[in-house]
Amino acid sequence: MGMIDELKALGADTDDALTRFMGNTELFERMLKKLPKVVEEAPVMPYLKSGDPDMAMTNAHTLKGVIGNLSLTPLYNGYAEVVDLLRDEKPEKAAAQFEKTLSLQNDILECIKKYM
Amino acid sequence: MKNSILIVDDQEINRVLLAELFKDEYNIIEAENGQEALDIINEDDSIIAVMLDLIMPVMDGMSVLSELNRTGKIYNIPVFIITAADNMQMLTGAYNLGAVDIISKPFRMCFIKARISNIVELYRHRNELVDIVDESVEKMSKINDKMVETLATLIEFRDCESGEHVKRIKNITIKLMTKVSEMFREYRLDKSTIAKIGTASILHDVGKIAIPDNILKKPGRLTPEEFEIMKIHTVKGCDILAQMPEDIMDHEVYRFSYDICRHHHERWDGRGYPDGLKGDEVSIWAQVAAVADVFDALTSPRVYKASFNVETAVKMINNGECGQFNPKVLEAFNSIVDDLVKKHSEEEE
Repeated sequence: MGMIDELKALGADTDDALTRFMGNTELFERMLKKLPKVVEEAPVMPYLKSGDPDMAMTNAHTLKGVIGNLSLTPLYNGYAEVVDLLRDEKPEKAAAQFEKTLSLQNDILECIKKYM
Repeated sequence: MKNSILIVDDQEINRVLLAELFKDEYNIIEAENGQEALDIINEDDSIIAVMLDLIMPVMDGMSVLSELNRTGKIYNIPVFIITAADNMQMLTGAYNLGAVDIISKPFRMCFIKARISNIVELYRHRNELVDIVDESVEKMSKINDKMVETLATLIEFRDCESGEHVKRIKNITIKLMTKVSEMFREYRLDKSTIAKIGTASILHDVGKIAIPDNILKKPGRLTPEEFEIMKIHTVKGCDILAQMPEDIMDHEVYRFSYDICRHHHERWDGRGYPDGLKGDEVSIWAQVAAVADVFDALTSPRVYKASFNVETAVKMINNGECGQFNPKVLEAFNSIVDDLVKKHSEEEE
């Protein structure tokens, strides 16, 4: 079982992703391996904790776009909800939602890192 | 040169996806933020479309759109917004600034390709049409200028002139008007307006067609009665221009022609004709054309006189022997005399 199959098992819509990458599995895997760094460079929780919802929103928004393009659908949905809550100026609810999302994010990132 | 698409997104993953989609048809250029994008757009003429993320570091997409809108580049290069945002206010703002389409993340590749290709093709056609129209307008304008010049030359022939007078008037008027405009803020005009004034100046004597031969071609000095008849060429010229079809020449050229035709014999002290206007009651272009006309008349042989050399002509103009002129116009005239002398010597050779 390779990285793509493992991610599929975690809920990723890998068929949709491969369509987006025009069937180029190698390119899809290469882009997946960039995700851990993107997540590291766009932290959300520290800004939620330090009371900077704008910065949290900017980073969540960035990750939503990237994760959406990689079709990591359950994680994308989690980020989409965080973005919506932040836009509705509900940072506490956004933080609670982000906590739920973090566990799935960790699983996905661990999976990818195994193949790096 | 292969056409280029500029992809602007701070996330490499997003850029790579779009690059993959278009790399076979277009040269792909990538930018990580808005500032980089603007620098590239300003330097690279091959860009035919921009795909622009909204939220980016250094400079965001809305600022890029504002700048492209301000410089007018947005009208020539289609800009597609690529965003995960569904903030209606922001997206409406992007459309208002000239974005052609919004492409949402995650991308739907087949739709993106079709939408971008369609609009790029439309812009290409539109830009081609604009070029064709511009060329046609320029061609028409040149034809109109030539028609006007031909008409003026025909009238000059009747006056026993070669037709060179109108061309010289045009050149002197442009040179002098340019100098006046440079030297005096209150008379400042742009280059294209000065070119139109130059074209307009060649019709200054169109009214001479209405003057009888025995006066127009009289070798000697005119009697006071004859001079009164000669003076009406200014007013008759305007009558002729008023009867010309409206669209035979550029509207502004027509306006300048009419004014110069009527007022190129007015003088600064109000002792000119036909209206006896004083000072800046006469437009600056009519004042300039008047000096150009007098200078050329003095330095050219006429049926009633031999030509004066340039130095004498300049002296006569400055001494007020041909009527008083605006001191500022004279100052500008004196500063281009060397240039006019040079031109005059070249023509004599």
